[in-house]
Amino acid sequence: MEPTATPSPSMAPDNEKTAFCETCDRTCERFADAALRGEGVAVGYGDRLIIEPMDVAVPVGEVTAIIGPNGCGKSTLLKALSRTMPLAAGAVYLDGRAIAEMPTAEVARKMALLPQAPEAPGGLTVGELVALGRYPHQRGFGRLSTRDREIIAWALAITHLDDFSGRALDALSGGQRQRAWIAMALAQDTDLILLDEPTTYLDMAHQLEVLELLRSLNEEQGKTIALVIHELNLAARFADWMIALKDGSIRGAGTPEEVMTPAMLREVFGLDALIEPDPWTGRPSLVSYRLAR
Amino acid sequence: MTETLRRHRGAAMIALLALAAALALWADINAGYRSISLDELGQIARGTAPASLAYTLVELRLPRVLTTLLVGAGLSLAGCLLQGVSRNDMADPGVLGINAGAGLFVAAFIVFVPAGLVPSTVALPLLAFAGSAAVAAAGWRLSVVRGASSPRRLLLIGVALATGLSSATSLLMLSLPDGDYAFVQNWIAGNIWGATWENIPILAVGLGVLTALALYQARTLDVLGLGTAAATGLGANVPRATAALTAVAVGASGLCCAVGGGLTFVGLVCPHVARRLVGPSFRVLVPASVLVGATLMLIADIVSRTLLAPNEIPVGIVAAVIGAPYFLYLLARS
Repeated sequence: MEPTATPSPSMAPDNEKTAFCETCDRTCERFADAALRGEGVAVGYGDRLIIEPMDVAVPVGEVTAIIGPNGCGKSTLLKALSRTMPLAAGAVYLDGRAIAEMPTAEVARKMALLPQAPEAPGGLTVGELVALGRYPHQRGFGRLSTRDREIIAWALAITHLDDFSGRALDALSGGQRQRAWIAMALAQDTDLILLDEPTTYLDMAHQLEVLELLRSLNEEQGKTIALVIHELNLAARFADWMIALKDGSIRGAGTPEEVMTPAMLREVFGLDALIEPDPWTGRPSLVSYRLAR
Repeated sequence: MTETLRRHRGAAMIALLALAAALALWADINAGYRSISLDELGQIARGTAPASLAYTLVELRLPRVLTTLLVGAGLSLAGCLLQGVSRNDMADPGVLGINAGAGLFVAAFIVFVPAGLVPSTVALPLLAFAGSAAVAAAGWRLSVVRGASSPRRLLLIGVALATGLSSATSLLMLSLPDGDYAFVQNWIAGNIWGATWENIPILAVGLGVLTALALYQARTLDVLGLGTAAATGLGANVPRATAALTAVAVGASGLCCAVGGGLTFVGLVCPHVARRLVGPSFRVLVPASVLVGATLMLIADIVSRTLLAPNEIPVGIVAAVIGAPYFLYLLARS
């Protein structure tokens, strides 16, 4: 099957670098009012670019899923947006302000980051880890204030870890540990939370548990969330906005219905995909797939 | 609540360690050919003690014991900070090449500067400190790639520098007469040779300030322990905090090296012991490491001065002999 056989707006041959998604550009409200916005963002080592110059946005108040095959640069993009990796070009704006010009602690009061497979020192307890989320709000020797304690207690409660506060992190299961890290990010008390593969290494039930937690944080606490994720069905089920990357450039951005298409999966993953609406959620769902020939 | 319970546990553990350090201090003051009772201590304090007794305590025993205590505390502080900043359990001042740098400067002084030209009691501490600082700076400079240093690279470069500098030191020492050779060899093994009343205030104030700085940065150390990405996400300036805390560690180990010689192992083992006792939170780990370091060195000093009395074993060797089995036990268990 020739790619041109299934015309789709996202498959426009001249992949315009300034386009935000296939239907609009920088003037789009979703882009202009985005919680986090990258303009002409590029990342590279030496001469080699891992992320080609791109416009990218995390729409405010929504859950954004970044998808793409291994090595497509999706984690790198999240790192670039979260200032944990230097940019080769472009700029990132947080609530409309250039992140590079903001003190790093101020950024941390607005945006929390959960890196991929984070590791804590042996013996650290859940309570101690979550308390570190208050770091950007503390000064001096940093005794925890009443407000700090309230927020820590809230973060533990909402992640159902109240009873685990005194437990060592390395004694927990994978799912509990991931919830503890999310609780730490929540204790940062930010409107925006970025997560790099929060469901990797978890079984299906625990993946769902983490994503339902994120969804409820979005719906009930108004958090804007962006995550890198491998599981396409879960991405389509929980995200409002999806960004598909391949070879360091955006191949599609839009609602799950716009991005989870056979044409997109063929272009991005090289898959022949059968996609149907999920009978329970109505979201596009990958029923079966094979390698495209 | 578990959290308050844990805080109380930490405080209780610190109190116990302080008590252990105090007991070790008293035992070390009493170790040797003449023990001193509490009564006699009171007499000395009131100035009614026989002159010879006062001399033994004030001029011979105390400087040695206090210097030992401070050196142990300082090296353990340095190791605690380096292990925290690098997230590497094998980090210690020796691994950074700091001791080797000091050793080279000391050997060069003995070889190239004619005896009696400069009093060695003044020159050696300064040279040792300069050697430590020079190697630390060179290691840091070499570890900077694309504008950023990484603790991992710093440690690898430190290992290479230490090996190279130790070989250079051995080469220099070949030309030394037996007496001088023994002196340098003893220095490298670590024997608290700079134990004088002049050095103690410098050491005490210097290490006091550095410990206070480390405590002030305790939360930052905790955050750095989560890895570069998570620490950055929490709003820590990772490169600046790493550089500053490494500098504190180099300062502490440089001071200790200047009066204590090339003591290794104390800085490696003591923070591990402290972590076992109080956990990884630096607010309690820093004071605990300082106390464990002081205690271990005092115990090593007792053994070093009594085991083969009247001969002395370099205290660094004793500390390693005491510390190594425990460290192997830790490694075998994990």
